Parts: sequence; structure tokens; C-alpha cells
Amino acid sequence: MKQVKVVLGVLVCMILLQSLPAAGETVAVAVASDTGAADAEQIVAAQWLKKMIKAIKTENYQGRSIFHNGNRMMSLKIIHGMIDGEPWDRVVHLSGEPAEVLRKGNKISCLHPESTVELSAGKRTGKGSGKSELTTAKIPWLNAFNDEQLVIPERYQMRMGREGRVAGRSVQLINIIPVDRARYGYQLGLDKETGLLLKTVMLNRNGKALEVFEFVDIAIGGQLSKADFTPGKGVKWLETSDAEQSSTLLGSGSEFQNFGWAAKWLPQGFKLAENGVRNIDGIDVNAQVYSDGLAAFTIFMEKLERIENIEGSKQRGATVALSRRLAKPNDHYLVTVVGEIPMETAMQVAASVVKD
Amino acid sequence: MTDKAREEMSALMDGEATELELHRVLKCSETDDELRASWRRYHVMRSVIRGEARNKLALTSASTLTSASVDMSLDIVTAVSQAIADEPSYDEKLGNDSITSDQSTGRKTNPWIDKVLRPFGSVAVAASVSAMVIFGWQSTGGFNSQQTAGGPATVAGLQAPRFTAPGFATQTVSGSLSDTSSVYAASRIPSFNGRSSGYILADDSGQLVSRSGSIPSQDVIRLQIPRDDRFNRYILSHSGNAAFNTVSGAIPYARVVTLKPSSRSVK
Repeated sequence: MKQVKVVLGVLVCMILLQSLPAAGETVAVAVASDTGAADAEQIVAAQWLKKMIKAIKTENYQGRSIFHNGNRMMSLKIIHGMIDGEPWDRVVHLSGEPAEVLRKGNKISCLHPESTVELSAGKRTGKGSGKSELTTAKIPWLNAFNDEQLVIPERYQMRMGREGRVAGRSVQLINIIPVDRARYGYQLGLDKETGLLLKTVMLNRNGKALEVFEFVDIAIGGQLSKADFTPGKGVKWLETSDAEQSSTLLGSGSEFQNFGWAAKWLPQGFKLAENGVRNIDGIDVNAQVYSDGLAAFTIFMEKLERIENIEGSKQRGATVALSRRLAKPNDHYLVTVVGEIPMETAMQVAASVVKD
Repeated sequence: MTDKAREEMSALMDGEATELELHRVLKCSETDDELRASWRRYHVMRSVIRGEARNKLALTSASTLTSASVDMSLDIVTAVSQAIADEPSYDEKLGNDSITSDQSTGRKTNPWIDKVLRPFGSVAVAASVSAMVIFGWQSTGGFNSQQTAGGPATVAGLQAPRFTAPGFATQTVSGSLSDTSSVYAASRIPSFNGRSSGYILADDSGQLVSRSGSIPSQDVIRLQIPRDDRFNRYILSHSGNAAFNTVSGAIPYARVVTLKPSSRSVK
């Protein structure tokens, strides 16, 4: 009797073992037969993306939108145009406290009731000190959108969605599905006529919307002048000359100081887009930006003057921020990862940062 | 229960167990009481963290004290206090002769003793629950520091409402059966070299800034408050630049507006 049991057991094991690879094969076959149609769909979607990127560079528009980030909704006025050959944006907060964001080419200012926050816009690097490795390196495939060729983001599947209506205009919905769990998914609504992005929904793996941006009213076309980008009442506009600005931005004449560090793990498809120093609150901080074309995260590396326990994390909508202290025998550093990526991804990136 | 069995069970809860592992866990669960207990415990913890646990929650003594109507969030102390408060006092029972509860009929003691001792009893119950919560917290501290060897204790992507007791969070490292997306087992996350800590996440709203209880070989457990200003400045700095590195057009600027730094931090 016992022998029978053993024989049965062995048989079951063999069957199991044999059935496992067999199951794998059938799945592979099913996928293979599906790729043809999927590829064609990807190409159509990529053409829409290309149209969208072109539209941002050519179309002027003014509109109002809502932005919902999970627990708060705000209404915004958005003006976008090409002024002096540069893209200018003005985003005005219509609800809550008065606030505006002005983008003129590569310069971004956030205007709040009491103050202005100047943000460098990716172009500031070690001031010509021959440190070429620190300059902004644009992501190849992101640049490729400028050219004639079509580019499909590496770690996403693009699917054509249904047609919809946003701000009274008919839109083509495009679903961008991540192929791994290191990033979020997107649903984009592109204006059928111009290709302008009228709606964005950022989704987590469960299909829950983390962030919704949608125009409710938009006027496309028409001439815009610099006057349209003058800040409104309620916010303070601090004019600073270029010279002043660069000195405040670069800190007190300090040269770029790279602390000598690296992230040893990056989610697949994310490439270095920018590497430089930013002055945050008067402290020079190393910053590396990585992007997969749709999502971006920034790793900040700050040298701590004294030992502080300031680790923590924060999540709002799709944006996570996470700090971790890196202790070396003589120095202490603070690694902060901020981005529109899942917390797990941010954690793994932060955990992998090592100092030389 | 061997470590292997525990690992397999964890994988199963993550939804990542292979078929063979599934069979092994099922097989073990027939004989291994400890495994079954862990399975149940992990699920209870998960439910609590997700705020799913309701009346049928079987969380040790707390459940017996929680009245059926109490929504079992993690605020055990409040729940217990409420349960104590809900219990009719002896004065009322003794005063109302027509209705005699089992308890009061069973007792022949001087009502004065009850009157004097009863409040102490209530306090004792509440205090013991507080003690339990505190104990849970501290043991988590130990858990954290132990974990740094193999990886930080993490509770990733949880949407735990009103999460105030890190003690529970860090223990539920293991994932979930149905939701494979949100939770990574601790072992899968690269270890932080040096001393570090677990993270407890805020809920989606971001209102609850999570604090990592950073406990580098210290006896005292401190709750860290991230420097919010600094945090906000980092977020702002990221958002402002993100537009240049993604194809999303004006949307990153929408984010910039929503992340206002406090005026103090702005020069």
C-alpha cells in the first residue's frame, strides 16, 4: 500500500513538472500571435503622441482646467504660447490661496502672496568649469520626438482608447500601460483636431486615479503677447536681474561640488536626464533627474552639517518624496527621492544610493 | 514553522508563490498550527491597516472590548474607553430594582465598594490597553533595527487611513493575497547600508506625513518629523524641472502650484 502511494506521488510530481513548461509555452504562443495587432496599435498611438508634442510647440491656447490630486481639487487658469521662440506658460491658481507659476523658456517662477520662488529649469550646471559630465544630458528618445521618427516609450504599452469629449471638444483617449510595477499608468486625452493634451489621468496598478488634470474650457489659437503673462493681483512679482539671479541660484560663488555618489539601482527604462547642482534654501544640493519619458524622479543629495534624524516620506497624489540618511564615518548625507513614481520604486532607488 | 515556510507563506500573500510553493504551504498548514496562526495574524493586520476590519475583527482582547458598533480603526484606546463608558454603571443597575442584570444579582458586595473600586477597574483596563499599544510600538523599534540587516521594514503603498501606531505597520511586512501590487516583502528591497529605519507611509491625501522611526541602536524611541519646509522645497524643485524631462506639457506646472512652500523657508 505504501509503495503504491510513493509511486502515485512520483507520478503526480512528474506530471506537475511536465505540465509547467508546457503551460509556459502556450502562453508564449498566445502572446506572439497577439503582437502584430498590438504593434500596429502602438504605432498609431505613437503618432498621436508625436502630434501632441508638436502641438505644445506650435499652438497657443488659453483655458481653465481642474487638477485633482487624490484629496484636493483645484481650478487653474492656463495660458500657453510661443513668445520670442520660447514656450511660455502661465498657470494661475483660481481656488485657494493666490499663486501662479510662470515659465518663460527655461526659467520658472512660482509666485505666492508673500514671495517669489525662482526655480532653475534644468540648464544650470557647473559654470563652464570644464565639468562636462555634469551638464544636462537630454534623454535620447525624448529628443527623438522632435524628429520625424516615432518613438514608443520603452517600458509602456500604448493602447488606443475610445473617443471622448473634454472641454466641449472631441478627444482621442490613449491608454499608456506600464509593463512593470516600477511606474504608473496614464490615460491621455488628446484633442482630435490639434493633438493638444486636454486630459491626463495618472493611475496606479489597481486602476485607481492618483491625479486627474482636465481642461473644462479651452480656446485654441489666437495671438498672445507678453502682457498675457503678467502676473495678476495678489501675488508678488520680484524682478531680479539676470546677474543677481545667477548668483543667488549658484550660491555664494561656489563651484559645483559633486559629492561623488551614485544610485546603484534604477528602474528599467529610466535614463539620466539631468545632473547638476541646485541651490535649495541656500544650500547647494546635488540633483540627478531620471526620466522614462513620461515619469520623472529626482534624486537629491545633501551634505548635512550635523547629524539629524530627518528621514521620512510623504505622498500627495502621484508625487512621493522620501528621505533617507546616509551615514559615512566622517560625513552625513541626506538622500531624497522625489517623483511621480510608486513609493516602492522611490524606496528602492533611495536604498541603492551609495557614496564613494 | 521554518523560515522557509514563512517565506513561502509571505510569497503566497504577495500573490507571488509558485504552484509548488502553494501546495507546500497548503500541505504545511494541515499540520503546522504556528503557520496557520501567522497566516491569520498577517491578514488581520492587513485588514486593520487598510481600515477594512469591522465588527468581526478578532484582534486579541481588543475585540472583545470593542462594541459591535465601533468601527475598528487603530484607535484602540478610544475604542476601549468607549466600551467602558458604554457599560452601565453599577449605580444605575442597583438603583433600578425592576431590571437586574446577571452581574448585579450575582454580587452581594457592598455597593460602596463597587462605587469606589469600579473606576479603578476601568482605569486598569484602559491602562493595560495603552500599555499594549506602547509595547507594540517599542517592540517594533526592535524589529526595525533588526531589520536593517536584511532590509528595511517597509510597508509600501498602503493606504491606511488614520495611521498612528507604527507598531502595527512595520510588522505587516508581508504582503497580501489579492493585492499583489502594493506590498513588497521586506527582503525584496535592497538593504540600506548603515543604520536606517522603516518607513510608514502617509495615506493618499498626504495629510499624514509619515515618520520613520529611525532607531539606530538607541534605547529611546523618537518620532521623527521630517523638515517639512525642506521636503516641500525638494518637491518644488523636482516639479519645476520635471516638465523639461517628460512629455506631459503643462501638467507638471499644475503640480508646482499645489506645492507651496511655507513662507518661512522662502527668502
